[in-house]
Amino acid sequence: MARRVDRWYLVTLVAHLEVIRGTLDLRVELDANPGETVAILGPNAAGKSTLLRCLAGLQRIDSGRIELDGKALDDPTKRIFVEPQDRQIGVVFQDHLLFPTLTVLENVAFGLRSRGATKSDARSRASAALERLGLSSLANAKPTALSGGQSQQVALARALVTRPRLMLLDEPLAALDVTTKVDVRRSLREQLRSVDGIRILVSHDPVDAFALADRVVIVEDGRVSQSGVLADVAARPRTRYVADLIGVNLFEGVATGPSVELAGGHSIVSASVRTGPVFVLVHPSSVAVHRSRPEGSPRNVWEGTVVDVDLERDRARVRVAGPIDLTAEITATAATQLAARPGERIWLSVKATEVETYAR
Amino acid sequence: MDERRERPPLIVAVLAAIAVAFFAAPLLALAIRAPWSSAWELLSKPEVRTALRLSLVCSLAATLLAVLFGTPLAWVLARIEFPGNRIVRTLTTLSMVLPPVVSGVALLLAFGRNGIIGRSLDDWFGIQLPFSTAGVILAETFVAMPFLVITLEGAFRTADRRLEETAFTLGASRWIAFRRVTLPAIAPSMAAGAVLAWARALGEFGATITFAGNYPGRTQTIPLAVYLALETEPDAAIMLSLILVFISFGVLFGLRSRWLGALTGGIS
Repeated sequence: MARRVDRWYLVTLVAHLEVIRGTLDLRVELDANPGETVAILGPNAAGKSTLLRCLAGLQRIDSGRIELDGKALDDPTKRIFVEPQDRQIGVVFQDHLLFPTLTVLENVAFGLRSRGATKSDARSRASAALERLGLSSLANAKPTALSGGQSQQVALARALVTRPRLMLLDEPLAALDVTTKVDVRRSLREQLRSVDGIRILVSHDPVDAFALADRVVIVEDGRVSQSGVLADVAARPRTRYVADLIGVNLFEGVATGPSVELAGGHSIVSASVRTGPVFVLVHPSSVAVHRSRPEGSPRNVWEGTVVDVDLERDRARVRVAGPIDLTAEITATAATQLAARPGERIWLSVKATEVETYAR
Repeated sequence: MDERRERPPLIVAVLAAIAVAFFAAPLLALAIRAPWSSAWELLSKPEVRTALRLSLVCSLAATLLAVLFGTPLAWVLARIEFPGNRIVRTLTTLSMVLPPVVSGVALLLAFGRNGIIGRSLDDWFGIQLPFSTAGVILAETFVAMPFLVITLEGAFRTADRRLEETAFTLGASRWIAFRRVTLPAIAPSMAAGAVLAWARALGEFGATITFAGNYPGRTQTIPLAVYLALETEPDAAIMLSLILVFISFGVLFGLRSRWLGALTGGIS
């Protein structure tokens, strides 16, 4: 809760905006503090990139206001619109978008040159930036000669070298292959830390968001569906999309005491006692799978049909359709012993103490 | 698979060979019938030199005008959505397909001494375009500019606009973004379009003779001189024609390998 107070006086980016373009209806509120990395996470076509383009000034908002350091960047009602070139921003695009006709050094020096630095000053600062990245040997190369990881780093250097107040990254790791991704993610985290401005990162990959961001804002269908510190969002998912990202079972229901009636009419028993609309969270690892009806204490027992079984190294995820659709995560060994095939009937049980509930 | 190694079916090979012969024969005839022994004498005649110089000056001036006005036009056609932009596109490239003599008549009605614009030009500024060197340049620009516009419009369309946006986010003004990012990207197309326009201007005949007439030293370019000489001095006509053939062949040959490759996607 202390964070809320902090934000009240540290806020430097405040945006509430509305954009309607074709099928997209984006209505979002966003704020961020200096020194903080905020990840905007959401499925494809949720409006994440449009939001980023609005912050960058590449797209005008229909209504609302975007404000940086107390100065309006975009405010249609007051007829204020600051062109992208006059905003103190740095943008790294998904495809990196290095200028193909310029050398690596000229690419990095571009922002300094267009903001008025002399040619020699811009070149020496750009060289220094490349040296910090260990890319000096590529200074005179053309972007086509770079690997994916290198071009990502050059794109980042090009944006960072102008010391932007607001750093915007659109899916910075999406264009990279898996092995490069791990390395680049690590170096990206270090470099983002060195920026004293605000960092905003758009991604559809929770791994990137968790590795790079302090806070996440989930955007689904043009609306913010959930936002907060990563640990909080992961512990208390509020939408199906977030639950799927973290890989947990999430239901909506109405609690009366320990019993929660779910949307389908079935009930689940929790150890916590609440009243009213709640979310019900069940970790797949706490779902037990049996061939026959289990004996003993579990309060929640159902029979269901196996939908599919996904093997992931030493774990197996078993999706089961039944009165309540659940995903169970068991060891690969257990899965082999169980030998459950899609279409077969099996029994599931969850202890009441493993059923978490929290207010909707 | 190396497609060059593929053997053509006989019928295709025969038809293709006839097509090649059809193009080659007239040029070969020119070369065979050319009075090579008196070539230098014919070409060093002052009126021939004057025509040659006039042709070069006018076609280069027309190319410059085409680049100066055609580049912004191509940019607007490629980038700006405005009502009637299909009509404007058709209008500005119409002279490519119009019979040149029709272009000449139309120019005369617009810029002639009694033309709707020409009259005012004469009354207010004392400028008379028809039957002047400026008139030749105007006629050549009219028929040549579309070649540049069409080539550049395609280039502006395919150029990645996100690169310009990236330049904006790096603090570049529109002009700097255009000069440092877009212009280098479209430069090969601009060169190709300019050369095409120049070649068209160099060979221009119909619009020129209709609008600017045939005055040696003032409006008589090589194609006009060829036409005139055909009656009186066939040998000179052949030599002049050969000059145009050499220039055009050189331009097209160079263009094919260097720039048309870039236009069709493959960069040689």
